[in-house]
Amino acid sequence: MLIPRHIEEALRLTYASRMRSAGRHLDQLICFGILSCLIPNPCFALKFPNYPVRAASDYSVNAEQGSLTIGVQVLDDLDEQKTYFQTKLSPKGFLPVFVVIQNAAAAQDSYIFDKTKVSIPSAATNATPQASSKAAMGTMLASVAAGSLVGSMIALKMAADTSEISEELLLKELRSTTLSPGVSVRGFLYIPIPKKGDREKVHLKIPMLKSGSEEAVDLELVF
Amino acid sequence: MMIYSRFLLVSAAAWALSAMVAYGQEPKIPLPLKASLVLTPEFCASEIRRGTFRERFAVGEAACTTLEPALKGTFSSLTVTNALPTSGNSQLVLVPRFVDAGTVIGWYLLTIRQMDVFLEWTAKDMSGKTLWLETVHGSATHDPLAKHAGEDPLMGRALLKSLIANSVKDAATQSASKMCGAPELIKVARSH
Repeated sequence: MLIPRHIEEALRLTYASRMRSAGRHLDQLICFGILSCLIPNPCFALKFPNYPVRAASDYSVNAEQGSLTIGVQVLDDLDEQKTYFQTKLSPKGFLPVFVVIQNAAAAQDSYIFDKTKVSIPSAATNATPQASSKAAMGTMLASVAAGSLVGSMIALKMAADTSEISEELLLKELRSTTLSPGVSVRGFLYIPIPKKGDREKVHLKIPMLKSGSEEAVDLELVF
Repeated sequence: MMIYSRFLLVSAAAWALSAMVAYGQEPKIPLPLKASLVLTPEFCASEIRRGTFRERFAVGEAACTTLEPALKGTFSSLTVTNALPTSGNSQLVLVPRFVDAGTVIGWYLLTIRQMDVFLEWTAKDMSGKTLWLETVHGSATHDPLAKHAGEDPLMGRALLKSLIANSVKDAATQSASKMCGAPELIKVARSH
């Protein structure tokens, strides 16, 4: 069947127009995708809820020594670790333990918590876990080599998330401080544990030095 | 509409009042103590390697130019020494130490958008007994969309340097405030 010339011309123009339009939409779609990756979006930001705080004596694992009370909450549950740190720390070889130390002294007795003095027999202390970024770097290098924009974007997001997780671990860590009368301190200690298998009981010993003297009080817990 | 305008009026009044109070605040009275600030060459050269890409943060260099001016008004007298004083008329010896630092990177061009430093202070008396220990957190953020002159668009050496300087400056300011309010230091000041 012969199509009249003017109809054929009209169809050809319509087809070309639609193709141009589709192409323009595709361009717009790609631009939108790239822009949404480049512009920081708070919706994509990781959320780190604060760990709920109670009085030191309210924790199931606690100890009292004079006016000092220590309470700990062990975060053995991987889902709980994921909720508060956006990563599972136990498979990385760290057990997060939330510590609350309270000085209930009414008099002028201040105590010094020195993190470098915390001892855990059979474990190296003072280590803060670092969220690994090797996977992100590997993905990025492979993506760049393959010329994949999407792969590179995903890797960049992974690297950024990793840095956010590492930072959050730092911010939530229990730091050296002085406990004035009526003051409490709280934060996480990251205790090194085997990456695989059941963990052994942890014996935590925290010496608290009385301000301006040589006198020390040992707070000890097993969990 | 009436309620809304009243709410605005009350908010504006509260804001104006708080601004007036802040403006009229008395400067903090320095603690009547002769303090020695120990800035050892090791401390001034201290670096922390941390972060996602194991960046090197020259925090000591920034601290050695920032700490003295920041703490000047905190004590009635402040002298800087490069070693622990064994004799002299100091009533308080202040020893700083960087314990940690970290960065948060943005996921566009891998620029650093936040820097945090943790500075630990040990305050001792002349007999060497620890009176006060505190860790101070200093933080600085960077707006990646704002333009910074002479900045390397990738890891940004100038940007990193400015973030280190600003976070250390923040830690120094926080330190002065913590020292002023520390009951243990106030107690020492009263006893002398």
